[in-house]
Amino acid sequence: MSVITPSQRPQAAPRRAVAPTLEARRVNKSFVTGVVRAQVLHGLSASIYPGELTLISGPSGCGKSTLLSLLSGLQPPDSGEVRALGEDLARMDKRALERFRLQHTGFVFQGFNLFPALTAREQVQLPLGYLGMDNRKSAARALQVLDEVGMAHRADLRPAQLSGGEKQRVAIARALAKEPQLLFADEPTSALDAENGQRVIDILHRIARSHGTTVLCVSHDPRAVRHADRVLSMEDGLICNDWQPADTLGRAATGAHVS
Amino acid sequence: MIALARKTLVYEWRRFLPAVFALGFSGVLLTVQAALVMGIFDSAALYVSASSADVWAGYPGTQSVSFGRAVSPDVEMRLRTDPDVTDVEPYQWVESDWHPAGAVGGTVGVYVSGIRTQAEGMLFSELLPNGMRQRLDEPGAVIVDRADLDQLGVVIGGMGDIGGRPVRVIAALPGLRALGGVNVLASLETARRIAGPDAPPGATYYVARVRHGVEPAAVRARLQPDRAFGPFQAWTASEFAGRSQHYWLFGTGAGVAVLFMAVIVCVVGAVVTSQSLMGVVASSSREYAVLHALGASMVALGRVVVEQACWVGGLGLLMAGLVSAALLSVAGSQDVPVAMNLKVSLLCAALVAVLALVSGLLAMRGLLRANPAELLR
Repeated sequence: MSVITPSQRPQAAPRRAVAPTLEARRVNKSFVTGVVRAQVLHGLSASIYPGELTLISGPSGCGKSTLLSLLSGLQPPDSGEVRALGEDLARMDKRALERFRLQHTGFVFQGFNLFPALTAREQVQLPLGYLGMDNRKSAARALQVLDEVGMAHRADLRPAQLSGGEKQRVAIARALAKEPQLLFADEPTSALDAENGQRVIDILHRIARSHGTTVLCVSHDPRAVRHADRVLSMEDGLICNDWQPADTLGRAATGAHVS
Repeated sequence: MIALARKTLVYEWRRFLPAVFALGFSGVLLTVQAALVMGIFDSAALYVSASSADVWAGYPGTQSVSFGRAVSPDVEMRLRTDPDVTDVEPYQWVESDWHPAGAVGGTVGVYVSGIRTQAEGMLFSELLPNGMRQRLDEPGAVIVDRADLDQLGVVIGGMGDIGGRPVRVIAALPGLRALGGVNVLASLETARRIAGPDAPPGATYYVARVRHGVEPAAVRARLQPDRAFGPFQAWTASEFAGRSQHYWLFGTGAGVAVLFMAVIVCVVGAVVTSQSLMGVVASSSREYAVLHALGASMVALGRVVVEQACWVGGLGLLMAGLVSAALLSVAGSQDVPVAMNLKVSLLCAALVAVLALVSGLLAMRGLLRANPAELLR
């Protein structure tokens, strides 16, 4: 098992032939705590492409989760532009953002956040109901997605009867059920053991490849780094390195996707 | 659509229990309070509601049965001249004091109702069993409520003194309790003896029975004041009963006190219920936040909370209904003055339902914590 260190990855990812599905252009974001204003993102720009598992990594407090929340439309930037699937998120009102998220995005969080009262199948069915799908169709779709994450045989169990890894796979199935074009994952493996963490990363990678989904994952898990198609390393609110772990060459962080 | 509200309620019922109890007990408090008020103030109209008379004639402007003043004996004639009146009888109301036999002091205020003792008598016909009315013919014979025997210090068959006249309790009945005193039933003659020789002529009221099929209101409408018969005013039985209750409820400030208590019960119920529901909502805020991140609108999530509140309200209502019915049944068996009717019980149920809805709306504040951005670390 090899560990990739920043010194081994001076390569910028090559420019793709396809258009980015997520773009941040000179975004700034700060938070006020008491009377102190902390600038988290400093004019950051980045482009994320479909069919890839893109990983944002970096030390605690570097702004990686904030970047994820901006790109997913959960928070607006103070300035700059965020585009998702060609749409400017800052120009959308609250309702439009909700609709956009409903139709196009899936989320996986560190905490599994499953409803204790619902079975695995019902957890996956739930967001489909908000899309207007009837129970019969959503039940079939839920089983299909649970099968995709290897959880079909546990479909009738509640969270209390599932292990941490199984809960996270149900959470992934819940995020995938809508067949989103954009999938956001925040530290999806940090609460899992090695085997389950590996499995979750494999699933995310497979989703990106097989469905053409844009998978953007925040993680400092080295296993995730190894399986990512592309890694954006962040420090102090800026992307300091943009590289591809699969590419053994490696180029400078000032590549085409970093500004 | 997955029934998230119902499934959560069933699976995590223990967490909803405080809210169900809060609503249930609010319902019990409202119902029992209403039943007590109705029971107590029904006794203000007992004289009318326990009698079979259709029309009452008394002093003009009388606000409650117990405030009657004597009207001329000519009023009886006026009633009898109406073609639809089939029977008329006088009602002698005397306020006096009861002295237990052989005791010093310890007087009790009593309301003596002097009534006709013939079998066809209309007054208190709903309360007096067959034959008991005629037993009042015995000079000095009186009937009291069985719950008042202790207060009067007498047993059935025992002697007492009202207004200096000896009386004997020949029977004790349920349902005769009065508001602010003790009801005593006697014959007209006994009542007049107690009232003494200085009592004005005539009677406090004259009550009439109207021909079968005739509206009492039509007869009452014909009984307009007429100087020839002295001052009097006629009411239908239901009008006079309502008038008496209305006076005690709203003319004495008691109604305002009851309404005030009802408002307090509602506010406390809403606060406790909404806090309980909000606790449940807040404890699931991370799950709601994920749903919101996935695109479920706040309105849709709010509907889940309100639906839970409605289920809690339904269960609280069921609990309130069962507990109230049991309590009122026990109260009734112990001679506690309680009364309930469909209209008031529906009103109490509606208040509990509104409480549940308001609590659900207040508990929606718990959803404010369902901010998906907070889930990102």
